[in-house]
Amino acid sequence: MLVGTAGIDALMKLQATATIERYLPEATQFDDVACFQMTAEMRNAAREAILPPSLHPTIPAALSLQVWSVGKSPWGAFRFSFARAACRSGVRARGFTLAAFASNDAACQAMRDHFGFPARVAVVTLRYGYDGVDARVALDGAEILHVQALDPEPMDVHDVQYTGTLNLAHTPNGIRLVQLEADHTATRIERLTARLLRFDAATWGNALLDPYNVVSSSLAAETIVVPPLRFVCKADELAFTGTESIAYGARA
Amino acid sequence: MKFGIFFELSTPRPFSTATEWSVYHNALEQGRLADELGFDHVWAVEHHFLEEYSHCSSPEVFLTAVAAQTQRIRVGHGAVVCVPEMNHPIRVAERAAALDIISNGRLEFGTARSSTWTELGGFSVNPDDTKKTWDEFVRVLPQMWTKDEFEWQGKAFSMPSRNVLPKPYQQPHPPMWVTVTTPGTELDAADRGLGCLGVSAAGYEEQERRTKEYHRRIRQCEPVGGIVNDQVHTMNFLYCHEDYREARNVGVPMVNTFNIANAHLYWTREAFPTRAYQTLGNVGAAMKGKKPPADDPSAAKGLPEGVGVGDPDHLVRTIKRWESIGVTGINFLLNAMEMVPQQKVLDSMRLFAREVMPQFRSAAESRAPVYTPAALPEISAARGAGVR
Repeated sequence: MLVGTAGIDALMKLQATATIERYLPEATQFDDVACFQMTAEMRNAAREAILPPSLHPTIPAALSLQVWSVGKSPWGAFRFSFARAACRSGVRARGFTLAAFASNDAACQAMRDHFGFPARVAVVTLRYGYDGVDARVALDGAEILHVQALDPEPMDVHDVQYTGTLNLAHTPNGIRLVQLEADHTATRIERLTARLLRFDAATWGNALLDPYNVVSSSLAAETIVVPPLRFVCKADELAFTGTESIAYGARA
Repeated sequence: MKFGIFFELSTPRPFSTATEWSVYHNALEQGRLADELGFDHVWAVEHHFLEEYSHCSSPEVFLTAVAAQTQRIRVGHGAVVCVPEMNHPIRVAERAAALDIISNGRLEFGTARSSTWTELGGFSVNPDDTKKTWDEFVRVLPQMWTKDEFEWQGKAFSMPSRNVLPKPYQQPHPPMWVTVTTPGTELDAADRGLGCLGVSAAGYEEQERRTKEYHRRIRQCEPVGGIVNDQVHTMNFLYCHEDYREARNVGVPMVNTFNIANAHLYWTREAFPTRAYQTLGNVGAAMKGKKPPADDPSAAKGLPEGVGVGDPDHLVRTIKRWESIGVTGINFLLNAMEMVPQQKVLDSMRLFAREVMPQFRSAAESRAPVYTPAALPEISAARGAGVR
């Protein structure tokens, strides 16, 4: 069966790997969030090669991109974007984070320190209106992402699936995949038809990334709550044996 | 209680002509043995592009070979994907009727709409439409099979008046089923008078709830065809050995392998926001959490709840439990990725037939024609002696 073939050291060189010094025992709430999500299929070159050996790729390989505009959070308003490879941890649907960008230093540091996102500071913009969405990320003056999505169709607030996220990070348990199980509660959701106009694969974590076939996109007005972390996984061991529970009593 | 076998034709990497040949021909041998041993059904899925998990994209061809090599066992086309980008309904009706003729009236006809983006995306299908096209298919197919002149103006397709040929051997047509992965689909089956073909093995409690509701609803059904098929079959795994430890050592990894391969698929809901797919449809994830209660003998033996892995005594008790909650048939997956050697698969089938099946019916019943639901009275009266 297919499993990831990327070496852990190689992945960490490609990413701005974060360090979680201490697991946060409280939930974190993000309010007044506009969350744009886009999925795209990739060719086989970016199937096993971008995942650590603990994870299975999906068939076909797929990229999931999210851009958040957060109105309220413990560290104020910010915008955030991250790209994930669709994958499976054991039999669970997950996304392995390849790169992440936050719009200010405080948010960037918090997303790294609390959740293990390999975040860097960049210019992240998410513009949306009655007729569509325009999302962009620019790093050091160069545009690395530009997505346009048009023709919004209203959907039921339960019609979008968000899968759990796995971030490769230094943790109190060692180098681990940090499992985030964010709870998205939407008040409005639209499905749109997206075009990926610019995607700098190398800057998004791997030159092999090849999101050639955009499948769908959505825009949600929602609240996102990230509960306290429950599990981390060894990055070089399958989830059935490599999953570790986080014991707050012992470590908090 | 009916016993069937169920083929995904899962194929291990590295892919080669020899590997696929072996998978197909091992399955044919299992089908022949199942017929000899008194199993009632042999089902084959329709899947496309599902690497490793299922290389069974042309089940009608595989099942034609099964039909030609067997005498009594019923061949289950389970299930035809009822979206026009994959299968034009006229071709579905024609192929099914031909298979029913070749099998001497042994066809069971399953319907489905696919739950993976891997498949729907591959055929450029809009996921919003599949429930509607499935509904259209199940309503028109019985008419194509029974009317000498049929015309249709619909959403999935349209056609001027034609006589769709050949007509099925069974009168008025083969029993129809719906594959049920997502909770709630069993009610769609019941409302239309269609059999419930479970393909995700729910636990006892969940299956009992679904089965009761299915039986309650089907009493008020508006049948789409000339038969009300009120059977509830579930999917399970089979590895039977005199020594439960050996059964566990071989069977549990087989179950886990199937689940992991299933999990690799890219689910429609994950890829595409839609009201038409309310769950991921991930069979593997559902089955992973199914542990037996502490007082269940399976727990002490390290076996999963309700799964057909164990010694004959364990399997008898497991199947009696399924029977007690209204399940009328169990279709067993015999292997996954060829990880169980063929001889062990055949030995497991023989032991099951010798020690387990007789606890549920006599040898004579295992040789008699397999039960099929009768045509509705008004259809029977109109058909008379079966002359068209």
